Amino acid sequence: MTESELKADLELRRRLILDAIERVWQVDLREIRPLLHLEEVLGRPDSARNA
Amino acid sequence: MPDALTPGMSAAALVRGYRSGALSPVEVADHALELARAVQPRLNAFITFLDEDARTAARASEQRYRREQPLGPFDGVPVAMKDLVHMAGVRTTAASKVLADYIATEDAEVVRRLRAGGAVILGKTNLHEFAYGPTGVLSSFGSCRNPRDVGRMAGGSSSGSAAAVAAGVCPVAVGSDTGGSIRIPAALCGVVGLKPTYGRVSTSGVLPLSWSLDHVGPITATVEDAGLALAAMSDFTWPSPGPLDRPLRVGVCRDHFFEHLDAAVRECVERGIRLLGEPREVRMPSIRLSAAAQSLILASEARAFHQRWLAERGDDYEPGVRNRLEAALEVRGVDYVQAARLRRVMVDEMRAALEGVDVLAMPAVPVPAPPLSATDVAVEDGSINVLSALLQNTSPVNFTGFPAISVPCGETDSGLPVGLQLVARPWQEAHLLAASWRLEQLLGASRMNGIPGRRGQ
Repeated sequence: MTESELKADLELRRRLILDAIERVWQVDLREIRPLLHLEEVLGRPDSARNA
Repeated sequence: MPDALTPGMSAAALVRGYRSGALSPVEVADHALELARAVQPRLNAFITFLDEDARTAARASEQRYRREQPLGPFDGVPVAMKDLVHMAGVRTTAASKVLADYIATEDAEVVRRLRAGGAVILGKTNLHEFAYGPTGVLSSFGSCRNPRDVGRMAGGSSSGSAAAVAAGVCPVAVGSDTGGSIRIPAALCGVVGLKPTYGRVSTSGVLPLSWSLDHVGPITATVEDAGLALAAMSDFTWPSPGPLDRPLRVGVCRDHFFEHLDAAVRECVERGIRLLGEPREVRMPSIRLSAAAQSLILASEARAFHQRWLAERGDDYEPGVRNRLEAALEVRGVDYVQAARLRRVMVDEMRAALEGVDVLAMPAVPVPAPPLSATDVAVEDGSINVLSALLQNTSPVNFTGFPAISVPCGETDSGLPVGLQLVARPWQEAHLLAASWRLEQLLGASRMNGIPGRRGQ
């Protein structure tokens, strides 16, 4: 894909996400904080290894 | 070839042979190096061969077996290393001219662990440049080709690692997976690819593509080998595989994961799911958005890592990879944050989908290996872009960090492999392996994945 095609593709993805976030926000009326560190929600293996 | 050595032998079988004295780590390493060089003109799976290092490690392993003091269940196992992983004194090229002359000064943590377990590292394998692509075609060292059909993609980005295992060069290879780079080539080449839980295997000393999405894991000939390899690469403890005491509850999400499929892939996957256990429909309402959100995060983080090299050595990148890195500037800070918000939603949805089931199951890749030059691929409902097709079902699981595996589940009429992807709760790789082992046994998959004549159906 050319750079311009890739840019257009990213723009589509960007809009898809923004629209969806708006919908979720309006329907659920809840705070959704960004998940910047997966460790925050996955925990550590020591507490769940091979569970 | 030593008498007791059969083509495509598993790591577990090799180690049994070492322990009984029927096989020698030195003979096995010699044979593996010979085979690696013999298939190189056809597959282009390797970038660097490490003959002397491998023979030294094999001789040390042999001495340990003679003293009856092996380092563990991985001692003497030949391994191929993705050339994105640092090994002290060896070049790490990332399949790019940008790093063609870069010599690593330290071992990556995963290399340190494998060496401590007695692994014999044969060489560094080819990949999609800087791991930024799912085809394995764009490499400054030439495209890696699929052992099943050299006119087709091996898949990427860990193309050489999967091709080496599928060709029977070695039973284990190390790969990395940011959007599917272990599971995609494993599926297309007909071998096992395990993406562990995010953080299970250290990424220290592995060139990053996207810090928050990168995983390191094994590509192997068998499910048992995947467990052995993961244990050697991390703190995972692997009980021997054995029969499960009840039918599996298999979660099936029809949205997204079963769309835009090749008909033969659908048939193989549906049969695999029925064999595995009792299918239960599950829903993940935001799943359609996860691949898009994952790609925005990936683009931003990859661009940040490559910023300086792009400015200084932009012409040394493969044009297709450079274009993706340049286009990444379109993603704004607010987009990254919104994608990260969606990530929290998606983790919750995937966790909820796994309530009441043992694993989720879906095609690993919606299509069999495309031709090397393909830009679009045919599916049941038309045709779609090849990059989107390859990444469709794997990238959502990088987004959540849950463990996932691709296991061979049959072939198309023309003999191209199909992979079934299973997903489990965080840190439950043992469940994934047990389910995969069951499928492998039921399908009668031989240990000779990739060897001509095999049919895993």
